[in-house]
Amino acid sequence: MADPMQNEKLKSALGPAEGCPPLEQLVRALEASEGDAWRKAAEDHTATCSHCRGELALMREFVEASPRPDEARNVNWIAGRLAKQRVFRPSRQRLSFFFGARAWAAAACLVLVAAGAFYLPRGPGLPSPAGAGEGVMRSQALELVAPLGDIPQKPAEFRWRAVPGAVRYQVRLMEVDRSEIWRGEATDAFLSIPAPVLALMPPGRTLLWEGSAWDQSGKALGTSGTRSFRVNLDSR
Amino acid sequence: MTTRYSGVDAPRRFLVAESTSTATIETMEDLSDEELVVRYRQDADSPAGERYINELFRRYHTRVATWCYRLAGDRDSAADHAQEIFLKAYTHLNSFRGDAKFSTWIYMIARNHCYNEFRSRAARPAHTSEDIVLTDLVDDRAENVEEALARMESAESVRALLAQTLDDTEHKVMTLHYGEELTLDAVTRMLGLTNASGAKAYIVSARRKLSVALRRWNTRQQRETS
Ligand SMILES: [Zn+2]
Repeated sequence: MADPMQNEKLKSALGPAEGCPPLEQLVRALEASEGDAWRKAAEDHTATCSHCRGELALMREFVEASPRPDEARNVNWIAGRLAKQRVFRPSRQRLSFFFGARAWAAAACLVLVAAGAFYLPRGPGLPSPAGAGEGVMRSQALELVAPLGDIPQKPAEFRWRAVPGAVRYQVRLMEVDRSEIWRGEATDAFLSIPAPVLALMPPGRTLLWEGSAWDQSGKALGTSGTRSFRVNLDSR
Repeated sequence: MTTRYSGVDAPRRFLVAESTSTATIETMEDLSDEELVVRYRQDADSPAGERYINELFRRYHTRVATWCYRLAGDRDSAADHAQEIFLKAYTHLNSFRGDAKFSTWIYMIARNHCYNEFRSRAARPAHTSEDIVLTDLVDDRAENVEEALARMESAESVRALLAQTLDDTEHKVMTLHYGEELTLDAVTRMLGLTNASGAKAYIVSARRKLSVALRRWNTRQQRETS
């Protein structure tokens, strides 16, 4: 039978080597005009690199993916759901979600932080980009109410205790490595959770969240600690 | 312009700019993915900006849905994964710098998301009975591929040998199974392989080819050293 240690040789040959360019660069180079030195280098590399050949072939598989007749019904259903549940609609709600376009400009720098978190896993000790200074954190804590710990079903909203003088609250939802996956704002002590965000809470997945409170002048009044929750596995 | 873009059945073509002097009409479809990102950034604060981003993502709905459906194998969890991918794409859109193609960028997000999810979900021991069956299927006369590969000292040589020996489908299957540790079932679904034994058949053929290539390589090495 196959020895796992020997299969490691295959695994490492199919993984990236030091000389492998990022896939984005490789794709660009291969599309450069014929005779271009950049393209030639990319072609030479791909001819002798099983990793890059595999990655390129898989990327084409994705780019050219179209459902077979036996898949079409289900794929169309999924695509329809994606189109319906777009989170990028102009928000006319009282609550202004992070995904509302209006919040985009203000949040752009914060997204940059989140993007960094996506590509470079962050340690749990890194500071929150929410903007609340440490002194503020000492002065007044925001108490989170729900969801906390193991919960029987997906939560409809985030809830916390109102902070005197606060006119705006912000909630951050994070993966366990603290990379942010969603951010929302509220004027009261709760925030409804939109459907696409609920989809990020499958049973058994632990997520973190934290909140912060702001006054009329934009001064941070307090922030909560980070708390975790998880929808029970038997809630399906 | 009064056309509003909302819902699944909204028309794909609608005006984004109109010049009365030249009577040229530019539609969303005329814009490349990368141009849509630029327009979105310019108008991020308005409903127009949202139309750009919705059009951009709409172009990938079917591809991401197909990809997720093949990997997940069931409609509901595929839909959840597809949503997560678009949410990640939106959240990290600022990291798209335009020096890559948007299709490559969103593919990377889908790829990282799905491989992580399905690798952890499989949570199988690294090598299972699948491998045993595979080894049994390999031609008895052929040298054991792993043993022969283990004798190749340089990783570069193994990499080049694989690149020169296997075709695209074999590369995809080997990368997903050995590189990304997806189960053969998942690989079969993902690549839409419709042959009777799916990914397994491609692994068997890849290993046969490798076995032959390794024998040639060994012969050449012996000739060179003698
Ligand atoms: Zn490479």
